[in-house]
Parts: sequence; C-alpha cells; structure tokens
Amino acid sequence: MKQARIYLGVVVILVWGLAPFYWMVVTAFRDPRYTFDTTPWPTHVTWENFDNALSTANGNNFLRAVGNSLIVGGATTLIALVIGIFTAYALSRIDFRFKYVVTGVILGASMFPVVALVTPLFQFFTNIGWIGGYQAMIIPNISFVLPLTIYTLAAFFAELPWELEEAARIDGAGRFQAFRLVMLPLAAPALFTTAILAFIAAVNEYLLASQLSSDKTEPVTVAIARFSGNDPHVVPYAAIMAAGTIVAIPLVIMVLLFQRRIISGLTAGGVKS
Amino acid sequence: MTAQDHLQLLAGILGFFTLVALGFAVAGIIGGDPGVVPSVALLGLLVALWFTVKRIR
Repeated sequence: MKQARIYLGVVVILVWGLAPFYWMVVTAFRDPRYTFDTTPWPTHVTWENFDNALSTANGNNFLRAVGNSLIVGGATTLIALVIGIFTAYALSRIDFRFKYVVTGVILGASMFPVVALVTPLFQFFTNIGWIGGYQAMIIPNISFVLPLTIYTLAAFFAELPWELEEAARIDGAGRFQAFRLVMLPLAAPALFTTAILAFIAAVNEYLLASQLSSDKTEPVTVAIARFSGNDPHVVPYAAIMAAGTIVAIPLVIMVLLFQRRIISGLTAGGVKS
Repeated sequence: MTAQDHLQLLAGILGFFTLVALGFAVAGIIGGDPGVVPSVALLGLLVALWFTVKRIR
C-alpha cells in the first residue's frame, strides 16, 4: 500500500511536470488549422510547423537566434564556472575572517530583482556602446548565474572528504595542486550538474535579453516572443510550439547523455572510514 | 553554523542592499532628482546594518 502511494506520487509529479512539455510537442506536430483541438494525443500530424519555425520568410531567423543563445549560454556558463569553482572552494574549504559576510553578499546579490536593473543597464551599455552586443547579455547573466554556481559547488566541495586533500598535501602537493589534481576531478559530477543548471538559467533568461539585444544578437527566448507568421494579426502558436520543441530537445538530450555523471558520486569508495 | 556566523550572513545581505540603496540615493541626488524614499530606505538599512555589526562584535 505504501509503495502504491509512492508510485502514485511519482505519477502525479511526472504528469504535473511533463504535461506542458507534452502539450507543446503535440501542438508542434499538429496541423496549424487544428491548433486549438483539445484531443490529448497527436492528430493531423504534420511537419509544417517546423518548416514555418525555421523559415526566414516572415522576418524570423530562428537558427541564428539558437546560435546566439548557445553563444550567450556557453560563455556565461564557462565564465561563471571558472569564477564559481574558486569561490566555492574558498568558501567551503578555507577559514578566513568574515567568510559568512561574503556568503551573505552573494545571497543578497541572488535576491536582487532583475527588473530593477534593466533601465540602468540599458543606459549604461548605451553610453559605452555595448548595447546590442553579446557582452551586454553575457556580463549581467554571469552575475545572476554566479550565486547558483557558487552555492551548488560550495555544497558539493563541503561534502568531499578532507582526507583526500590532506593525503595529497602530505605527498608534497601544494594547495593549488591538491585542488587541481585531486579535488577538481572528484567534483566533476557537480561541475556537470552546475554547468547544466547555469546553462539552462542563461538560455532561459528573457527580461534583460529583450532590452539589451539587437536583431542580430537576440537569443531564442526573445526570437520566439517576437515570432511572426504569414498574417501579422494572428499569433503563430503552432510555429511557436515547434520552435519551443526545437529548443527543448537539445537540453533534454544533454541531460540524458550526462545523467550518469550528474547523479553519480565519484567519491564513492575514495576513503575507507 | 554558529549564531555569529548567522549574524555575519545577515550583515552580508544587509551590506549588499545598503550599498545598492546608497547607489540609488546618490544617483538620484547627482541626477537632479533627489527623493525621500531612497534616503529613508538607506537610513533604515544603515541602522539595521549597524545593529547587526554591533551584535557581531
């Protein structure tokens, strides 16, 4: 009975989480004339919506937007990871004065509402000539992704066994060597998890990108919101759903490919206690 | 985490927002649009930060 309740809970959570995604895929494959059909399974299946989504005929350039998202997301993730790794290691492993003040500042930065920064950033980037460039999206994104990166990695570093680092130090490694050669490879699963979370957060960012990007640098979130069809007075929902499916599938594949690395702990068996 | 660590954490959060409030208040004054609300918010945050720092010591 208890197991049945657990499975029921799992099914409810799965349906709750996957239903919007399922509906997006179903609508993406449905003939545009039947977009508002409420049949829960695919009917009138067609590839037309994907053709419309990828078409540049109506002023849309979806593939370029996907490329822009990859550039912004990739650069944000890479820079945030490099900074985050060192910060998280210092916060979890090194005892220094006012360590928790630094943690508090990072927490405060993560609480800050993005909407309050849109106008000042727009003015600032306009003044220095960065508006519409990739850097205008990457730099603010880093500041929003960094707290997430630091907290995830700090929690993981804190759980790693100190004994491994101490053993490396006893064998003659310096602090940085011990960190680079022993702790960092052990933190690989956390790095993958954090990288995926940071990438998703950066790619999903809309508010800043909608104001700070140009036609040539707009990421996929902005491109989908501005999607236009043959008729300017009709929102092309089916093509939007197809575009959403195209964007979501690489992320799903990435998580499926790396799921073993994400969920496995490389430290298992590293130390006998 | 000890009580002192919690206070340090609070001081960090308050310090961050105090700095932001200071920026807003100063920008308003320099930009020729001084307001009571940013100054009062800054004052409130400064008082809260002062009490927190005092407790840490």
